[in-house]
Amino acid sequence: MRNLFKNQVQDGILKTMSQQAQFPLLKPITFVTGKGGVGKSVIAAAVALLESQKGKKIHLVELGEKSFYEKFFHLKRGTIQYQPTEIAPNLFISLWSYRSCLREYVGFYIKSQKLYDLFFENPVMQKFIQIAPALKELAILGKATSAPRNVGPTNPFDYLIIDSYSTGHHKALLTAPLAMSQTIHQGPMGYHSQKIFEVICDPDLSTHLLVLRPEDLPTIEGLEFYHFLKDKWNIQGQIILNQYLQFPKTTNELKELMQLADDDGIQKICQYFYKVSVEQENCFLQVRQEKAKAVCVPYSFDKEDVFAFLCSLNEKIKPL
Amino acid sequence: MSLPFLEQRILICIGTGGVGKTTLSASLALRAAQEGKKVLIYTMDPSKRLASCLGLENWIGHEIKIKEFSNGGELWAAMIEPKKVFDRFVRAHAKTEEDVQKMLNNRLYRELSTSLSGSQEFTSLYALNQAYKTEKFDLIILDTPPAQHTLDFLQAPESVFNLFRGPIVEWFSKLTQKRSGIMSLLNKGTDMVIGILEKLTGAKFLDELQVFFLTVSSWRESIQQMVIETHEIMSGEQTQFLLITNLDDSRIFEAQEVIGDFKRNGIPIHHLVFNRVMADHPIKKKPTEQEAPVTLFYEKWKDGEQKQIAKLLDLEERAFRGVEFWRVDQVAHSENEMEILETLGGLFRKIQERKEYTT
Repeated sequence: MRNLFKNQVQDGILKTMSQQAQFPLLKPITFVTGKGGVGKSVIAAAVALLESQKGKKIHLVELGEKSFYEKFFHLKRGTIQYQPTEIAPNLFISLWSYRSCLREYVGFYIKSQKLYDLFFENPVMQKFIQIAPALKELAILGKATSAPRNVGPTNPFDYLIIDSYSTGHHKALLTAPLAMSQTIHQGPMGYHSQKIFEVICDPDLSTHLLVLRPEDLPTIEGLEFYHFLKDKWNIQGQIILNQYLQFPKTTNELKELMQLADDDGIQKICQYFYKVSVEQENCFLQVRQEKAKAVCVPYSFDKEDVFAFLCSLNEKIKPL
Repeated sequence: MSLPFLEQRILICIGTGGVGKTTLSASLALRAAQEGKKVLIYTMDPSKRLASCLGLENWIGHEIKIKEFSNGGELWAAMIEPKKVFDRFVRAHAKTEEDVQKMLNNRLYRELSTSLSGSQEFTSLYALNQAYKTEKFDLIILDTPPAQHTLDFLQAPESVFNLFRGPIVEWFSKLTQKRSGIMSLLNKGTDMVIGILEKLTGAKFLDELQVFFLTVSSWRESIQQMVIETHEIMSGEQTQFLLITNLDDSRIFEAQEVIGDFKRNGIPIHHLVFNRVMADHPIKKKPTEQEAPVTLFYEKWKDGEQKQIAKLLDLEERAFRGVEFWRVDQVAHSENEMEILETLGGLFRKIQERKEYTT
């Protein structure tokens, strides 16, 4: 791996890139996605912490019913709610369930509390929400894009960082407003769907961080999604190759050690690391060929102190 | 050694995303077939390489035999495609060809059959049940959607059933009557809700919903039958659940949640598999100066893993009571997928006892 970096630094284009590299380039709305298990929640937290330490007011959002960050940051149960909680200076976290998002969305239209309760306590309505296609997605994206669309409460944050779903579900999330605006041309929902979609595609308002792992399949899948965004909606994703292994030897050295080893255990260890190292290099190569905006983050063995761990990630982000 | 979970008729593999669940499920199927069983692997969204290895690249919709063994074992494979399963159901239940077309062209149906939460889960259980009823196989292994939605999986039969019964269908038929002026008296609550819905979504959206619900309301009984059967499959004696995960912190957290969710829903998970654990390679001599950094790196890695396992065994009492732990070693990437499956199948090892890891 060391060898690989040497090559990259020597490479003129990459050198300039590294000098200019300001990564990731945040926009008012930053989505973080990736295949399951690539560490996207941790990356989202690291990016959020980095920016908050620079003095930006950050709103980190997780989607769903259960909080991951509560456990991750060792917070007291129930700390992370729909309304943002400041867990470190300038770093606010909240948990958005589609229910709460929809409640807020509807509340914006229905000013009367009584009518509002009636709407949400109605059993038919509750079922309807569960099954209505795209409604959950729209509620979440509606909330996420409310500031640039000038609806809803005012937004006190510089950046909104959304730890989104894994790639497949994230795609479904992004597709929902477009599908809806094509299905319904009239009415507020059709109108808002169209606006939401415009915000997501606007490079000044939104950006998408794609977290990949330098393994065969995650890289292929990640790049597939990168192309999907680019080709379909002209969205330029930013790639983070996460958890690459910093072997103490180069690929060639590992191969040599494997061939020379006279101990069965050492031979097998070198052989395994050699194969992994080859796979990693291949993934780096594939990403570089895309000429995408990309960085890499090494795997860390020590994760005991969460904040120190996140800061160390921030320091270790290198241009690819 | 035979693996206990291959002795059942149905094995449902669930797992947190990105842990190699699909590949591991296929490796278990291959192993069972090698041991002489007639095995069907139902897989979901396999990688291109695995799909071609299992002969599913251009899959046309029925099980195919991939391998035969001299001891009578057979390996079969099939894929879960929710849309196909739903379409088949529509064709089987609609009364006229016109109804079929009306449904297949309904935008909401098209959305629901592919993206309704639980639709993948439900159709995989449905397909599993159909295959089980043929009694053609000794063992059926089902690879499921990522466990971010395991609760969806458990609740799939019910939530699909709920979709077609009770107030919602009646409600939409009332809505039709109201809007066509047949019925003037509705209860006040419903009236208001309709008003708000219309305001939010526009009238056209309601029209689409209505067509959909009115069409399916006549299928209630057959849907109910289907739901009952799939539920029986999940909770029956013949079925075992295997949860596949790895040793990452966040994955362990998810595994705990999943096991808890299942327990609360009355379905125990008996086996927890940690995939991609670094293999044990005992070193019998002092490494050379060149080798030392590599062996040190290896030991650091193993150390990290052992700490995780120790932490887990510590948790066992509370979260993982009654769950057996298994491990599968890391396997280096290879172009030959069948070779990988064969290797993986042989790598399942029980994590024996606490004292193996705690010091």
